[in-house]
Amino acid sequence: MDTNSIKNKIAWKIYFVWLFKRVIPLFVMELVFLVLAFWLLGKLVFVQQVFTNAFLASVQNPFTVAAYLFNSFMDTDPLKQIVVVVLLGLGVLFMRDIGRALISYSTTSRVAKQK
Amino acid sequence: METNNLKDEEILALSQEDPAYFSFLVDKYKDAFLRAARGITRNLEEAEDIVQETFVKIYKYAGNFEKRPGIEFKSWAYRILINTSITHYQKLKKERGNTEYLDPVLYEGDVPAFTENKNIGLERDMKEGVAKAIAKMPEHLGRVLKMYYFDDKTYEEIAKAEKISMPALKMRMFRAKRVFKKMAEGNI
Repeated sequence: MDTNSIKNKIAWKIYFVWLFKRVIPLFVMELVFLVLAFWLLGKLVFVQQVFTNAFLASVQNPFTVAAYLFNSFMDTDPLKQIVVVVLLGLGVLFMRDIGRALISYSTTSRVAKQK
Repeated sequence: METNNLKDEEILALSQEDPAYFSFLVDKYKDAFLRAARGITRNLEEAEDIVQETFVKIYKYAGNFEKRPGIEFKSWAYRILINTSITHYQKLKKERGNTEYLDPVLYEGDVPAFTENKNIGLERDMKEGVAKAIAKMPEHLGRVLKMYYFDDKTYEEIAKAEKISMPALKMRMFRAKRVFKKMAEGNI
C-alpha cells in the first residue's frame, strides 16, 4: 500500500480546491476592477500624450521619468489621482495573489514529495 | 512549519489560508482512514479513492465544522469517512448488480444505540462495524438508516429526501432495523 502516493494526490487535490475556492475568485474580482480602473483612466487621461512626454523626458535623463510622472500625478485633479491610486492598489493585490499561488504551489510540490 | 502544539481544528483552520498545513492532518489520519475504508469496502483501490475523497470533503467543508463547537475533529472526520465509504460501497454494489433484497417478515429487532457511546475509540469501532453492515444492506434500507443514525436527520427530513410518506418511511425503517439486526448477528 503506497500511502505516500495517496498523500501526494491528496496534497494536489487540496491545492486545487484552495486555488479555485480562495484564489481564483479573488483573481477574477481584482481583474474586473483592474480593467474597469484602466478603462476609466483611459477616459480621463490622454494616456498617449503622457507616454510621449515621459519618453521625451527620458531622452534627456532616464531618471527624470519618475519625477515627470510624480509631478504629473500631483498636478492632476483629485478624481484622476484617486483612479491612479486605486489602479496601483489593485495591481499590488493582484501581484500579491499571484505570489501567494506560486509560493503555495512550490510548498505543495515539496510536501507532496516528502516521504 | 511547526504544528506540534496545535489541535487538529487549528491546523484545519490554518490550512484554509495555506493548504500545505493540511498535509499534517493527512499524515496523522491517512493510515487509520485507509484501514477503516478497506474494512468496509474490502477493496484497496476503492479504499484509496474513499480516503482521498474524504480528505477533500474535510477540507472543503471545514467551515461547517468550525460552526459546530464542542465536536471533536476526529469524530467529525470519521463521520465523513464512514458516510463516504457507505456511498462508495453502495455505488459499487449497484454497478455489480448484486443488491440483495431481503424478506422483511423474517427479521425483527432494533439498532444498537451506538450514538450514545461517549468513548470515541469504541464509538468509532462501533460506527465502522455499523457502517460495514449498512453498506452491505439493500441500498434503500441502508440509506434510511444512514440518514437517521449518521446524518442525524429527522423522520420528516428523511421522508422528504426519499420522497415517500411518513407511514412508508416508518415501515422502511422497521424493515431496515430488522435486516440490520440479522446482519449484526451474523445470519446474513
